[in-house]
Amino acid sequence: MPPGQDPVADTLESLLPRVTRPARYTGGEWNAVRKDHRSVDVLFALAFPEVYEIGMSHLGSLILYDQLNRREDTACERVYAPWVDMEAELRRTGLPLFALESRRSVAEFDILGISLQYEMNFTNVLNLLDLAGIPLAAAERDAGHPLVLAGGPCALNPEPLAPFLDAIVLGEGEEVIHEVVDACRDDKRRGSRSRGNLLRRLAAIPGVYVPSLYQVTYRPDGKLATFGPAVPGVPERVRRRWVRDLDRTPHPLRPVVPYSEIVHDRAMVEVFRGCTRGCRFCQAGTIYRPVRERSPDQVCELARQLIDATGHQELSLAALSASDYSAIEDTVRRLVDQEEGRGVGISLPSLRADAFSVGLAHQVQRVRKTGLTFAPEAGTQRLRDVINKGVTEHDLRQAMESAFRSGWHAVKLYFMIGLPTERQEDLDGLVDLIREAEGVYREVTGGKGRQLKLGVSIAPFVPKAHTPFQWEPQCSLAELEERQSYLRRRTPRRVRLSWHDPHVSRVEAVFARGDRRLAPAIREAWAMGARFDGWSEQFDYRRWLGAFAGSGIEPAHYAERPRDQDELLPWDHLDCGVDKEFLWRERERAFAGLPTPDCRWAACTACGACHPRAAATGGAWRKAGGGEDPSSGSG
Amino acid sequence: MAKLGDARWISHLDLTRAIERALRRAHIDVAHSQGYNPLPRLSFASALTLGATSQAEYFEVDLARPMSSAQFQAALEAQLPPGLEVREVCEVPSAGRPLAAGVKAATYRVTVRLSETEDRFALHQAALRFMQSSSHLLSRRREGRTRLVDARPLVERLEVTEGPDFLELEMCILLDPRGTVKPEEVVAALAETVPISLAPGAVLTHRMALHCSMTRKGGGS
Repeated sequence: MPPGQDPVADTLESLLPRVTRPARYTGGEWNAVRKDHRSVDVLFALAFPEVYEIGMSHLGSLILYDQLNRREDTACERVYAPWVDMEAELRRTGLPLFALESRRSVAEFDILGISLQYEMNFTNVLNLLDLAGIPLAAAERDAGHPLVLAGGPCALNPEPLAPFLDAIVLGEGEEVIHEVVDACRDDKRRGSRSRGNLLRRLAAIPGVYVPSLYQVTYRPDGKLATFGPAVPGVPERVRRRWVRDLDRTPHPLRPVVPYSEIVHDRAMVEVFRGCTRGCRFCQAGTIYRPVRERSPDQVCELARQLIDATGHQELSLAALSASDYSAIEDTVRRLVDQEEGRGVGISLPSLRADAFSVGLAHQVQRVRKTGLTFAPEAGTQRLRDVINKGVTEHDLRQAMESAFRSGWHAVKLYFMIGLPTERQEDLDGLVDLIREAEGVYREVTGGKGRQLKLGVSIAPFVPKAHTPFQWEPQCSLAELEERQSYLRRRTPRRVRLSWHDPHVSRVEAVFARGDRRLAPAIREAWAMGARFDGWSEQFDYRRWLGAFAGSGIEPAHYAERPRDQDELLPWDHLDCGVDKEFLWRERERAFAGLPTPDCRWAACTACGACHPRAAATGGAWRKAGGGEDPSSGSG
Repeated sequence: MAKLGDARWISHLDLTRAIERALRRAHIDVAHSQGYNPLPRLSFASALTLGATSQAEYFEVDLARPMSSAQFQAALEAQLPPGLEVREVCEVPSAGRPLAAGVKAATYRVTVRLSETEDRFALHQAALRFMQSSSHLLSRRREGRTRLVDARPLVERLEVTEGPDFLELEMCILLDPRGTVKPEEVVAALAETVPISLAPGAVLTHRMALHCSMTRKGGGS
C-alpha cells in the first residue's frame, strides 16, 4: 500500500485498527456523494451528534444531504460523533474531526449544520466543535470559522445551547436550508470579514433564529423577565417553516447505503409528516403539525426507485404512526405485490395498539414474527384520557388477541411513569395490563406452544416545550424511584422489565425546558468528560450534579417547578405553529379528564397549525387564556 | 473477488450484506432459502479478518434465473462499492459441495512496519526459528478461558523478506476444520519471543490465495 499521499489517510491507517467498528469512520459507502471542492462555492458539513449507526438512520438528515447535494454550488458531507475510543485516538494523534466524504477537516467547511434530536446529545455538540478545533462560544468565532447552524426538534427550545450556535433553523429544513446556503454563498463571494453581517441577513430569513441578536433579562425569583431583540430589525418572534405539499417535496432517491449494520438498516419512504392524535406529552405531535400525506402512487414509485438504488432488502414506511396513513391497506398491498418478487419485505415501524394495525403487520410480516410493540403509555383509562392517548383497554386487548392469533409470541409494552395526576391506582392498572397480556396469551394458546415473551419498558415522563404539559413539574427523583420500586415489586418475574434511568430523565427535563443560563453547565459537564449522555454506560449523574453546582444551577428550578399560565417561557419567542392558547386549553382538558379527538376524523381543534391567526405574529400568545374555546372536539 | 483499500474495514458479516445489496441493485435474481426467514443463497469460502485486504475472496451464489458469467460479472461490477472488485466469475454445478468445505489452506502476505533494523533482524530470526521448531504453542483467550493452540503444524510455509522499513512474511496456513490460526496471531507470537512490541496498525495482512483440495478453483492468484 502506498503511504504518504495524504496525511489524514496515513493517520487513519494507524488509528482504525485501534477502534471499535472502524467502518464508522471510513466513508466511501455506496451513494455517498463526493464532489470536487474546487467546483463548488459552499462546503456544508452535516453533523449528527451521535454515533454513525444512529445518525445514518435519521431520515431528516438523509433529506438534507440530498437537498444540499442537489445544488451544483454546494458539497454536503457527513459528520458523526466519534465514539469515545475514536475521540481518544483523534486527540492522541492531533487529527482534527473530518467529514466522511473528503476527509477534510470540519473547520475548513463554510457551514457546520448540527441536528438536535435529543437533549442528551448536547455535550456531543460541544465535543464536535472542540474536536474540529472550532471555538465553542459563537462570540469567539469570526468569518474564518464555519457558520454553526442547528435544526431539529430541540431547535424549538435551543436556549441552553444558544451561546454556542450562530443560527438555528426552526421547523422543516428542506426549503429554508437553501435560503441559508444562498446567504452564506453571497456573503462568501463578497468576502465579508465579519460574521455580524451574515448573522443579520440570516435573521431576516423566516424560520431562522439568531440567538445572539436577542437579549434576556431575569427576575429575582429566577423566572424570565423579558425576552426580545437586542438590535432593531430583528423579528420579535420566529416562526417555524413547514412544507405545504409533500408530493412536491423531493424525497431522497439515492440514500447512502452503509457497510456496517445501522439502527434502521432499510430503505425509508416518508409516507406522511405530522400527527394530530394529540397525545399531550408528545412534542412531535405538536411541532410537525399539520398532517401532510404523500400520494400512494408516489409512495410506490419512490419505493421502487429506492430499492433499485440501494439494494436494501427491507422497505419501511416512515411516519409518526404509519398505520394512520389514509391509504395504508391499499398501499401496503401494492407494495407487497411490487417488491415481493425480489425478496424485499415491507415494515411498519410505528403501529397503533389496535387490531387493525396488527392485521396490517400480519399482512406485511407474513414470515418474520419478530416482535410487536404497543404503547399504552398509562395503566388506567382515566390517565390515558388525561394524556389523550386514544387507546382503550378494549383496543389493546383486541390488538393482543389478534397478534397472538396471528402467531406472535413476543410483545413489548411501553409505559411512562410520573405523568401529571398519576396515582397509585394507575401504577396498579399498569401491572393489571401486564397480567392481562399474559392472560390473553393463555386464552389464545390454551397454555400450549411457546412461552410468551413479554417485554415492558418504563420511562419517566419528561415535560417538553411546546406541549400541553410544558407547564407541569416533573416528579422528583425520589418519587420516581419509589414508583419504580413499587412497580418492580408487583410485576411478575417472568416479564422482562426495562427501565429508563430516572437520573437521565431528570437531566433531560432540565434541558428540555431550559434557558440560556444552562449553557455554562453544559460546558462544564463536557469539560468534566460528559459525552454520549444518552448511553447508560457513559452517563454519570454525579458529574452532572457537579456541573450544575459549579455553574450555580438549581436543577429543580427547571425540572420540578410548575409554571404559571402567564409565565414567560424561554421558548415563547419561537413559534412552532401551534398556538400557546391551544396548548393551555389542552392542559385544562387534561386535568378535566377530557380527551380531544384527532382533527382528521373530528372537528378542527383550532390548534393554529393550518391557519395561523393574523394576530399571531404580534404576540397574541401573551394573553393566553383557557376560556374561549371555539371548536375543540366533543370529547 | 478482491477486497482492497478501505473495504478492508468491512467485517465479514457486513461484506455478505454488501454483496446481497449489490446483487439486488444489479437486478440479479438470487435464489432464496426456504422457510420462515428466506435468505439469499450466498456463501463465502472463508471469512477474512477485519482489517485485512485480499485478492482471493470467493463466494458462490445460486441464481433463480440463469445468466452468463460475463453478464453476471458486468452487472455486479457496476454496483460494487469502491474497494470491492470482481476478478473472475465461473459457473459451477449447483449440486456440488459447499465452497467452504473444499478450502484447505490460504496464503497471506503480512507486512510488518518496523523502522529499527535490529527489530527487523530479530523478527526475521524468530521466524526462522519458528519454522525449524516442531511445535509452537500460543494461548488464545476467548470468553475468559485460555486455550493453547499449536501454531507450528498449521503453518505450512513461511518466507521472510526484509524491506527498508518493513518485514514481509509470506505464509501458507492450513484451514483445518478442527482449528486454524490467524496470520496476525502467528506474527504476534513471533514478536513475543523476541520480544518486540508491535503497534496496532503496524501489521497489515493481505490474503493472496485460497487453496482447494478437489477443484482447481482458488488455486493461486
